[in-house]
Amino acid sequence: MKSIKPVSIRPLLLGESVVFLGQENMNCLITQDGLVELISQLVYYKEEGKSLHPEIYIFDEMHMVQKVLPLSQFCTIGEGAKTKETMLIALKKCAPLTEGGWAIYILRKVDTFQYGVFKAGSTILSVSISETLIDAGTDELKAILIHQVAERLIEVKGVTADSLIISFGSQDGSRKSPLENQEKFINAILKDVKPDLKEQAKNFFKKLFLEVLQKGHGTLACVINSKKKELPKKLSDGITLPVKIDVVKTISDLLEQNDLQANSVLEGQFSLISGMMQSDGITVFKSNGTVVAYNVFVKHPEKVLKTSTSGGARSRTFITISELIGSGIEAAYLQSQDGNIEVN
Amino acid sequence: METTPVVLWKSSELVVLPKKVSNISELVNFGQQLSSRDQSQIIKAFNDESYEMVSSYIWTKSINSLRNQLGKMGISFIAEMLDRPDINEHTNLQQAISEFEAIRIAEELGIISGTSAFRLKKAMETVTHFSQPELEDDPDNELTEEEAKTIIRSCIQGVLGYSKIEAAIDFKNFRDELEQITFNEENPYLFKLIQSPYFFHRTTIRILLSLIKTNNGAQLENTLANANLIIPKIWSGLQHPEKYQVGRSYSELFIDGKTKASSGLRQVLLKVKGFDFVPEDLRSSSFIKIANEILVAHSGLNNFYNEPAPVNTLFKMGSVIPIPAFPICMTALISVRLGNAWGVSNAAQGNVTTLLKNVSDDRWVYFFKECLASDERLLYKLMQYGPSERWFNLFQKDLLERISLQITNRDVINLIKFTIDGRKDKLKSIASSMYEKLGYGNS
Repeated sequence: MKSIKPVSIRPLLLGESVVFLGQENMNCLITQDGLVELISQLVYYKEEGKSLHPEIYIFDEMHMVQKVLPLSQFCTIGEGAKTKETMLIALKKCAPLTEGGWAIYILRKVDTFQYGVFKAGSTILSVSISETLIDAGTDELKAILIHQVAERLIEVKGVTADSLIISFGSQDGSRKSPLENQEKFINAILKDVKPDLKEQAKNFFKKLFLEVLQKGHGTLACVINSKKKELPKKLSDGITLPVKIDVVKTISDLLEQNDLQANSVLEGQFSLISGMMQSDGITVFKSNGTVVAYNVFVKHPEKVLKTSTSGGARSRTFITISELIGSGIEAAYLQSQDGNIEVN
Repeated sequence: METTPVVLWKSSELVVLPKKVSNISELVNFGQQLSSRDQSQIIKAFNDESYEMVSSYIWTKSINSLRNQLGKMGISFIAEMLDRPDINEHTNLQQAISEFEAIRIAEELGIISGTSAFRLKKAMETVTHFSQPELEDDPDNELTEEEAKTIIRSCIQGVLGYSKIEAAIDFKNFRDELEQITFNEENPYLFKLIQSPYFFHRTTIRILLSLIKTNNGAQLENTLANANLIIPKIWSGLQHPEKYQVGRSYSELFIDGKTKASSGLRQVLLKVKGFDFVPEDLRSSSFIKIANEILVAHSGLNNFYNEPAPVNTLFKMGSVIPIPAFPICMTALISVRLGNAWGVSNAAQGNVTTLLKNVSDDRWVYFFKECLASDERLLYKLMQYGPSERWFNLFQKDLLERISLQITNRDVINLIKFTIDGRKDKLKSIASSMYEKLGYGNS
């Protein structure tokens, strides 16, 4: 009689979680179990059939977190015994509330876990929570972030520990977060932006690209030089915007006027560009942060058609526009449905 | 033996006007910034006994010259120096900053000496007083020849006697080095700064914040490294208005998405445990804006007419002033309440008195403990006849007695004591001593 061999990735995840929490100086038997559960839950997290991509932060000190995040809003949802079940309840109760920049927090108290949602800043431009607590975080304020960065791809980050990129897909484990490739492409979009607006524009595009990534729709984009008055002929089969979307100008207006109208314009541009990037075809940016065209299609040359690629039409298009780098195009971006990101 | 106080920078102003010059033609001849046409018009108007006209003219010329010089240093820098978040690149500096503020920064940056600042403030008060429209009908209220001559002399000695006025060399070098190099513990500027009077500490904080807000790349990195070295060394001696300025700057940088700058300032605040000074909301910014409008009206022309409108706005904003805005609001309200050497704005007194009556005991303790000792504007008022007289009517004796038990600063304790005892001369003398300790009024 054939026997059954159970295969579980749980021991592997648990081992990595223990090491991660150790490096982060946040050792806790319950947290290490809970972390594994949260990672597993986030892979295909849905509520009422809708995919959700919450960011979950775990920290030990509420007061300091509130202080380092100006204009932060905290909404406590509940508190329960210090168990992994409470961590899962936190996810279930809070995940539906995380639209519009809200994130989940789990506060580790002596005997309990308190949970709820929080957000910070006043506009899309504000420094993100992850940038503040994690990327530029400090030893004095320990925090962990767990989030899904793409379909079947979970990232666990801390202030000092090596980040974990956990892939539940068939692709080989990558040593890099897909967000690194994304940042490389965003830098190409912002190459010609004035230095005093670059950081704000980067915050905007990082949030935009993350949203597109989490929505799970593949996307293609490219950057052309800001000095080009017209689109390269090879990119002419698509919707060319009669009035380009000048994100950097809107950012500059918002910083100067600091009013609701300027903020509303920027938020409008955010959702508009997000929609364009989720449409079929290529979204074309200029290297000064403007959007000039979307839904653009290119003809695949013979050479590309003969190329053996495991991907479909999107991969071939990516190869085609990558071939054009140096002759009208400065950078090309491919995000496949499974979250794989390639930049040339 | 007298010791010379260590200061980080000092005005290099040379004496341009000999003491004995008193003839108007000779006096005006020293005005290098005055064209020959200006000079002959001033002499003619003076000889025609149009003293008010000539005083206003030369005063406006001087203050505009000072403002122009300040404008060249960058509007964002000036906004930070004044702790005025309402001033931005689109602001007309000539209109936005008051005469008092222009003189104050000019002294702080070593553009003019402490003595020149003192003389210019006196000239400003005289010109402001005689510009009041209701004085015009009474011949007793006309400016005298001597008063006009003193104004002309102060303006030439302080500003117009120099072909070019600019910040002290040491100040410029210090500001440049803050963004060009990374200081270490042995840096001589650091040694001097720690021993310098308070306003150098305050100015250094403001220079650093201004550079952090405007710089990018390597200059930003140098500035942030220097802020991380310098601010913790002087933090414990800073009064709350300066601490709130650092906290508010962090909040602004965060909200505006300046990732690197906000991260650097966060390190500073973590080092000094200063996050209690980060405002929780933006309400305080509206109060700060109105308080500054009151102060601009207070030290401008026709102040008695211009004060009631912004005071009324502040009155309508509610009686509980957010704590980050409390110091500047108190400066504004007490300034209006004390008035100047010539009187007070009667129309503004009602609302100001109500607002001050609503200040709780705890807030008064806070004011005396954390604000007054570094409030050069109020200390200067307490040195003047008129405002210092009105100061005594501001408090109930039992309130001051309760407060003084919670104060540790010896000068502030004495100031309260002299107020309780009604000792006018002693009050002026302690205010003057505190003003000088801040670093002002020293030539």
